[in-house]
Amino acid sequence: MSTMTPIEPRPVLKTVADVLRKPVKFRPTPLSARGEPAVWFMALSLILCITLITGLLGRVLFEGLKTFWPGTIERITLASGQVVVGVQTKEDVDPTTKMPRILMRTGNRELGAPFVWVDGKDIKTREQPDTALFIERREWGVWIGEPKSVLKIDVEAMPANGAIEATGVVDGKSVKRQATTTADGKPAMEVVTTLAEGPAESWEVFKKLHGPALARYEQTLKLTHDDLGWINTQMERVRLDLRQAEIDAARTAAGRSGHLGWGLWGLLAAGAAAMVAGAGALTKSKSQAAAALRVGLIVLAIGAGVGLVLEGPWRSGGVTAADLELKKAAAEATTKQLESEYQAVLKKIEALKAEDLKYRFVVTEPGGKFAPTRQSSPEDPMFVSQVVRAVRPNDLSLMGKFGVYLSRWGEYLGDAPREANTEGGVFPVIFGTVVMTLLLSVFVVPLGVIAALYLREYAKQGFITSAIRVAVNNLAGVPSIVYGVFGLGFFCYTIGTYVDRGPVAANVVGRTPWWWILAGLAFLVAFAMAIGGYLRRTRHSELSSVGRSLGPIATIAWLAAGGLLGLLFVTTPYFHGFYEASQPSPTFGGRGLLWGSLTLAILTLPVVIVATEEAIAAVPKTMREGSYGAGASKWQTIWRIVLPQAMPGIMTGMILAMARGAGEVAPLMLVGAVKLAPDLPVSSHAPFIHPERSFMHLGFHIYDLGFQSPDSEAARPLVWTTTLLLIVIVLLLNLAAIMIRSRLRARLVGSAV
Amino acid sequence: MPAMAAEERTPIVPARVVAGRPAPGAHTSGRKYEVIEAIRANQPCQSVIDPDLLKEDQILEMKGFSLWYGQSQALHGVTMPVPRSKVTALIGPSGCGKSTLLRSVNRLNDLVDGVKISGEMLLNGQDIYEDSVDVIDLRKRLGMVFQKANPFPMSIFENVVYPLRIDGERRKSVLEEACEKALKAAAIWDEVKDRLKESALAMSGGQQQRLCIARAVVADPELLLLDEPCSALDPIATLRIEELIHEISRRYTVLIVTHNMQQAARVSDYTAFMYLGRLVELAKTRDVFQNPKLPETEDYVTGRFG
Repeated sequence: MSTMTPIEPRPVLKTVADVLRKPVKFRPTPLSARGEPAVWFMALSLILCITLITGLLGRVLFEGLKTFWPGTIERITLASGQVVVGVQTKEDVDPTTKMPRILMRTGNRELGAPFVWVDGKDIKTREQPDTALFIERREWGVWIGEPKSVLKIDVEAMPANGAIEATGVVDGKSVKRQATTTADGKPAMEVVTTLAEGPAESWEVFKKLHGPALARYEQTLKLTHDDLGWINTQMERVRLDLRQAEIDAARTAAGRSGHLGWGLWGLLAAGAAAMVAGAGALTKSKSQAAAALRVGLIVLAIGAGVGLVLEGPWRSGGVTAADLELKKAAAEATTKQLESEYQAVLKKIEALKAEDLKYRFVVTEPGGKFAPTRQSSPEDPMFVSQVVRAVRPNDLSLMGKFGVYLSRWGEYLGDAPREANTEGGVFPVIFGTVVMTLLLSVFVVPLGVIAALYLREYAKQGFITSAIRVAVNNLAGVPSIVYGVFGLGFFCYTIGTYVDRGPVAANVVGRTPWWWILAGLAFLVAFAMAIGGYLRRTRHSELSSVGRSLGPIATIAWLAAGGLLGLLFVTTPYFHGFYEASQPSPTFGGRGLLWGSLTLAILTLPVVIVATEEAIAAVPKTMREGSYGAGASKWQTIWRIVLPQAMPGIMTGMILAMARGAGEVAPLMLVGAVKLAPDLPVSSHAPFIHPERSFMHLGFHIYDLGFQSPDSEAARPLVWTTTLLLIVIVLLLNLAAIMIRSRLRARLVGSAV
Repeated sequence: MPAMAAEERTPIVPARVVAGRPAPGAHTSGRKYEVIEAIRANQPCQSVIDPDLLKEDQILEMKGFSLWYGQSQALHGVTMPVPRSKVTALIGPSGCGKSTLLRSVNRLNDLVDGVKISGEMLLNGQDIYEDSVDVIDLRKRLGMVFQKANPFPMSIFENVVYPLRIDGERRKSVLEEACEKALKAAAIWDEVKDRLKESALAMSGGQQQRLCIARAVVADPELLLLDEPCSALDPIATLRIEELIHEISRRYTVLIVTHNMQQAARVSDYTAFMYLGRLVELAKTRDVFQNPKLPETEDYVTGRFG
């Protein structure tokens, strides 16, 4: 900087020619300097990682995709003369005899094991009969056999003379008749018409009958689930309404209306407004004080509004005995009306069922037994409507097989599960997983972003912030089951019960009487306002050192008053919850979608906080300074500059959180995921969304299929498929988020110059 | 050389500098730097300020202004007037406190932890470091342009009207009018008028810097602070910005920090030479470059020192 020597002429350099004249020797750079071995090592590690990942994904992909491919049915005759008909699922070597063997899926669970090992040396012949039928039944799994006949069973009135002509031919079909009794015990005549005989003809006739049978089944399902379900819901509401009225009446009779009363509401609202206005009085500028006054007025208005809603001046003061009698009568009338509607629907269902009962499909296995309607009545051939899908795989072309494959995928993705989840679809599971994941990100992102913003932008960096960061990072290492236990105890049992039945039931009311808290609150407010008034009247320079410490004391008093106010509201014994009538069965107080999402939100919070903090820290300082220089406040800078700029980073955090949350199982087993949820968390009737319902989740479903299934061999391929599905769903959710992120990035970076 | 608006702004080339060599008859560096030696010895020293300058109408007056970053002192009792409606340049070697001084004017240094100040900084006679001063309101009255162009991640239009937006202005007509006016003042209107909705980050460096100038003048600031506005730009872009500073200085007072002495000579009416956190000399730019009072100033502007 400060050389003061005069500038000397530089020494004359050698010319380029001088330099070039000398022969130049190149010394090879040593291997260690070039780092080649490190590069090889890195490449090896990368190859290892890629192999592991692609191996895993490839296996999942292969196994998951082949599940629904219709396999060939083989008829194997053993040396002993025994016949095994089934689909080969595995081929290996017997660990004891060291002989090759195959695992045949024979289905027909009523008759014995649905999977049979066949030793290779025992096999005499292997055939692939064209007519072999693979039937997926609504219950009892797969039936493999050969169609024998299709029957139609009508129940007719007894002929006048009481004599039954045992056999005959009607319209070219052979008919058998026999005496029977109707459901109400009257004698009747059962007429069994053989619509088709033999494998080929039976198959054709079955195919014609199957469509209408499926349609009837769908209709029955709709009637049962939608119509009857809705009637049931309404009846339950009437019952709960009445129950609530009874509780209210009992309370009224005891002289407790369950309301705070207007005086107390006024006091609370005015107190809250005074707190805000008082805080404003402590500020320096007039405009801020005016703003605080406005906020105080708004608080007052909100308090009055909440009071109006909860007190309900348009309602009567309580439920008298006479009111209760009226209510009872009304409820009885409604119930009667609903009951008759219920019967009408039931009649429709009965009619459909009666039609279903007529058509029977006789499919025999090698032993000659046919598929029964249920295990306890083996003499009763199954209904056509019991067949979900029947396939003759040996007779199918490649395109035909592919059609079956697609149809099975369609069922898998669109239907509800059957047979302890080992058959049918996973639609509710997909739905539950996606909704849970979306809810989780809705909860975790604002929470994490707010926490990270305060930590990075507002909090004074020091020991406490470092401790918080360490704690947050450690949270990421807590076993997820711990979060599950926490969620169960805190969300389900405490918050949930609070929502259901109020603070007393949730056990959050302390021993301090409510009125003492109120008195403490009043004292704190008065104290803080007195300090505020004193500070406002006195100039800062005139304050003594004690006087200067009054400001923070007033702040603490305000905070404590706010805390007490919150405590007051939370522990009010006058609140009895929103679902008091339905006790003891919990509504929110049990496991549910909302609590599952919240638990996972806490679980994934560290990811979002860390990602957001990094994204915020990466916002260039020049950008912030530009904003401050333009006269923006810190809040405006954060809101308009920092957050938009950090948004891609925040999205990254969200993507990671979603991926982690969607794949989590252990905590969900405790707080919400169930083996089989009868209803989706949404419905077509108000309130449409039911966050309190338990739900199904793909991760839990995989666990359930793999380890809790009654027929684990049959469920095994589905474990692969479900795993594939989970991976694909996480991938799709992530892709969606990544697309949004890249759009944001494009907006931030701008197009090419 | 930029086209000159007025005669007194004829570019002043430092007289005795020819290709970095001392001109014949120039003082050699054996002479005594009284002020600088005093500064180096950390003794009190007297800044040399052109008495004509004190007669001017002052928009900003610093009186014994000192600033500490934690324990280290960055500014030592700077007393300096800034005349209204003129361009004042701050020059000096790196680390002499030019930028710190500039950032003290709009209290951007408040953002740094552990900053302490003493002395007075009067804007139109009002001490801006007084308790009652709302720093946000203060910054709204000053415009600032930074060393590196810092457009915000939003459209060109939103960038320009940012100061108005955060001030709560929502009327579209007002914003559009102000945007056009500011962009015209920053001589960039013709280039961007058809793509106001596009991202500002897609512009070239020079355009971005002019956009930042438009942003700085959109709210009609009383004083425009430029912190080495051309240091990251190529010569052509620099030329345009310098022309722009001339244009703008008709309406606004400008305080500019620059490393480039030719630039100070070209654009400013007054030049202040700073060294190690002290003001050394402040005079008319012509005098500083052609007839400085102190030998150290002369040696600095001729490139023999610093």
